Amino acid sequence: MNQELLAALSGIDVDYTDIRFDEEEKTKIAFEGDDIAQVATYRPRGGHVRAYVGGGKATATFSRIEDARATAEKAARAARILAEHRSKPIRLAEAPILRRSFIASAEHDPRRVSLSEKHELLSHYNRIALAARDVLTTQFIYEDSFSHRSFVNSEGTAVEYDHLIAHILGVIVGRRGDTMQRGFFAVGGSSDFGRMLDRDERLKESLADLDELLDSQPARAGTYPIVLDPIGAAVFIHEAFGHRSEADSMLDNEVLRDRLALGTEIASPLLNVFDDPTIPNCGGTYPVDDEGIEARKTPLIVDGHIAGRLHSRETAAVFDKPVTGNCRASDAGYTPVIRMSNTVIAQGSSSLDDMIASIDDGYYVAGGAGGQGGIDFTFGARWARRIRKGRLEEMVSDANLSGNLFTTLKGISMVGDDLQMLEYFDCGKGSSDGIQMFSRICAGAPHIKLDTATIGGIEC
Amino acid sequence: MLNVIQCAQSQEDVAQAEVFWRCEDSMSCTFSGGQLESVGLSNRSATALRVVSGSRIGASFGESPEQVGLLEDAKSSAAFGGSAGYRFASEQPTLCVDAFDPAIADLDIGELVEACLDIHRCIHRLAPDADPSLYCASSVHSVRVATTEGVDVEERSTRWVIRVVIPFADRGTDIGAYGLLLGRSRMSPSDRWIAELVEQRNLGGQPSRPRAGRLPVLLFPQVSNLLIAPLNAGLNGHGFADETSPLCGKMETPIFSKRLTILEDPGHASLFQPRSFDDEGIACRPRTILDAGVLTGCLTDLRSAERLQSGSTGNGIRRSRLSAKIDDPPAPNLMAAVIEPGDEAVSDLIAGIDDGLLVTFIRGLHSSNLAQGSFSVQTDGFHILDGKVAGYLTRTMIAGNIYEDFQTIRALSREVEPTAEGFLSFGGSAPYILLDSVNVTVG
Repeated sequence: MNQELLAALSGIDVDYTDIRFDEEEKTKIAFEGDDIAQVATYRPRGGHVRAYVGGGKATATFSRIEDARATAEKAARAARILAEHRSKPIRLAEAPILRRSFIASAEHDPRRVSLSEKHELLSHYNRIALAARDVLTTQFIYEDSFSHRSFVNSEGTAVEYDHLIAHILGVIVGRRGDTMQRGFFAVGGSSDFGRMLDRDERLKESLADLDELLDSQPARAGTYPIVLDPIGAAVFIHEAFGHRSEADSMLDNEVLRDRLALGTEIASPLLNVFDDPTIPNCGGTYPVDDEGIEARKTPLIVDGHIAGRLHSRETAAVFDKPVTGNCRASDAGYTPVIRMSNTVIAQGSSSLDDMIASIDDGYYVAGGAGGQGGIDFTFGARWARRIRKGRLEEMVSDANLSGNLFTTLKGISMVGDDLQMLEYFDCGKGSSDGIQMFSRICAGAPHIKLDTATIGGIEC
Repeated sequence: MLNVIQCAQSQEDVAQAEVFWRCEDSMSCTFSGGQLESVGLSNRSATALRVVSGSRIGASFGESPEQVGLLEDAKSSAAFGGSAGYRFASEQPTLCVDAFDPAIADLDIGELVEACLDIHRCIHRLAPDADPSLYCASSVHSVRVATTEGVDVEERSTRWVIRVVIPFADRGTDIGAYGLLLGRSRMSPSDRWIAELVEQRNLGGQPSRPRAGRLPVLLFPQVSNLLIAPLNAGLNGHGFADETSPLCGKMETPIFSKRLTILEDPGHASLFQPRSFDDEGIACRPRTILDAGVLTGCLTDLRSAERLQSGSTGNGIRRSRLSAKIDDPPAPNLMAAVIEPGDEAVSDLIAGIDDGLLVTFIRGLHSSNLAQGSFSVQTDGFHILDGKVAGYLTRTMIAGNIYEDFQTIRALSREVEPTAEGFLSFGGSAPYILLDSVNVTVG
């Protein structure tokens, strides 16, 4: 494939160009209650070109490899038009030339598992959920995705790399009286099919949470000290800081760049955060990004101070920093943008018991039901539990949290000794192509204690 | 006729087949930091094939209906698929609106760049210190559905989008004045439209914190549309079949304020993204979903219609809660949420608020229990005191349940804006909605 891509670029008059071609194979099985909503296979393919000419930039997508050259020519012409209207040329940071293949392998490769076995596994979990007390219906989805990508650029880089990931997601809807709530089950999130086997205990924990949630009342609105469980803390750091560590989020905002300058004390000295696509078997693990840069670990917060940012070649040039290998596209239809990989709060030394004992009136917040990053950020809990006088008490529902980047991180007063990585996570990021949904992303954290967070409940 | 349909018809082990094929050819131009940023050209095509084989349904996906292996993959999937007691579309829909402008299809990238620069010049003239981000895009879309049952229909449309964000002067925030122009033909924002945007930006001089508690909240049209997302979940025909919808048993009864009427009319000529048929090839029909607060209809696709033993309402869309990917199976969704306007000017609505919120954008709606109508979101917008803007909102959340908070709508504006299908939002149109009382939390 690389030879075909190189041929498509040859002789086009540009300063820099690259081309990527993706060939994917996916399987999807979905149950809705007793019904099988979908069993499907998916073999999309397509390509993407970036062209830089005279300081201007253009991108273009195509579906058939035969269209690669015409697309590259169109992109070059569009970049030339843009260059006529730019006084500041767009530059790319230096990047090493890489010529390698990174082929996916897994001990228990989902590609070698039959459709029948995948179907039976999902059906097994679905049956357990449907048999639970007061469960009205379910949505269980199995998905695996294998993507083989080829990338070449005009500097001489030529790489082939694979992404392989499989997961099971379950949403369980329960009703008791007038109360209806949802339980969640997520396993997998790596290239290892075996990670989804024998997870009945995890499912039963989710069903027990749902059972208790059905008897719970909504959280009371207000500001409280809270303890976040590892899943909640992982979503929290992704939304509260991770998106702000993506250098394109502040590219044209001088005030924000100053406020988030490297070395700034942004958080409690207890907080250390890094992004690392080389952690084995996580959702955000990859060998090389979609600019042909090898993956590497990037410290983001060290002892409460901003220590690094995630870069594309463009932002690395603007900030005069080395590349970090974080420029990725969800598939062939999209231009790569800066994305986190596996974003992690490093383990601390506090125990969960000590965190709970330190709170007189607050909440224990579990799980992450999604969120949105920004200077002010928000995220939703799966469930929460009231803490009174140092003891965990009744479960509450509908606890959505918000906070502010410049105050909340400084209020982290304890970091736990029990780091866990999420098994499934997805996140959308807006770009000029629209919102790119990524499932190849992950976060991890131990329990953490925040001295103050805002809960937007229904009752004050 | 598509080859894959012909091929399916000739195979004894295929009882029915359906192809859904969508193509998009688009150009976009972005401007930020006082410079043109980039140009994007996109040509995407995606196909979904569903077959019924051995009375079970299977699916496969690729870029085009000609892709090798598509039919065999779908047949293999059908061996493990669900039972299909329904028939794919058999009645050819009539195309009800011409949404295709050849001038958009013929547009050159240079013209799009010039359009983007023109908007920047206009903003710069009115607000020389503003540093806007602009997005201009033109696109040509086609959707084709063909079935072995006799349907083969294609609809083409064009779109023109201008999105402008002018950050507040206090650049320590990432919020600002936000404007969106949607059309099917090329259009330029009027001087008045830009002037209003600049004025909105100038109102954001400093933050202002409202008190916590129940306050009146005025929703921008795009936010009015977003808060319909829980209603979309409640109207889902599967929720009626499972009895998981909070609207079960409430047909023909009041569920909202009588000020609220919502039409579902995907073929309406004024819409940004009109459609004549859904993603299963079923003709769209104008219907009233909510008539003066009274629930009058739910949404079905072929599968949920079978479960309810009714016919499809033509709302089978390949869209899940958070995405609209080709491999999202058809599911009941609003295609056009046309919220009927009221008769008051938005300026009068603002003037009538003693202490409340004007919400221009909400974040985090997807974290809420939408199926039950709940929302708990962070807000962008303005604090209104004594009928005037006191400053922009920061660290402010609103939370509640649409089935309670939309019972007491104080008023709707006479001004309406078109809305676009997107992340949780729906095509259609919406006015400003003034909710009498919503719980507000301030961090």
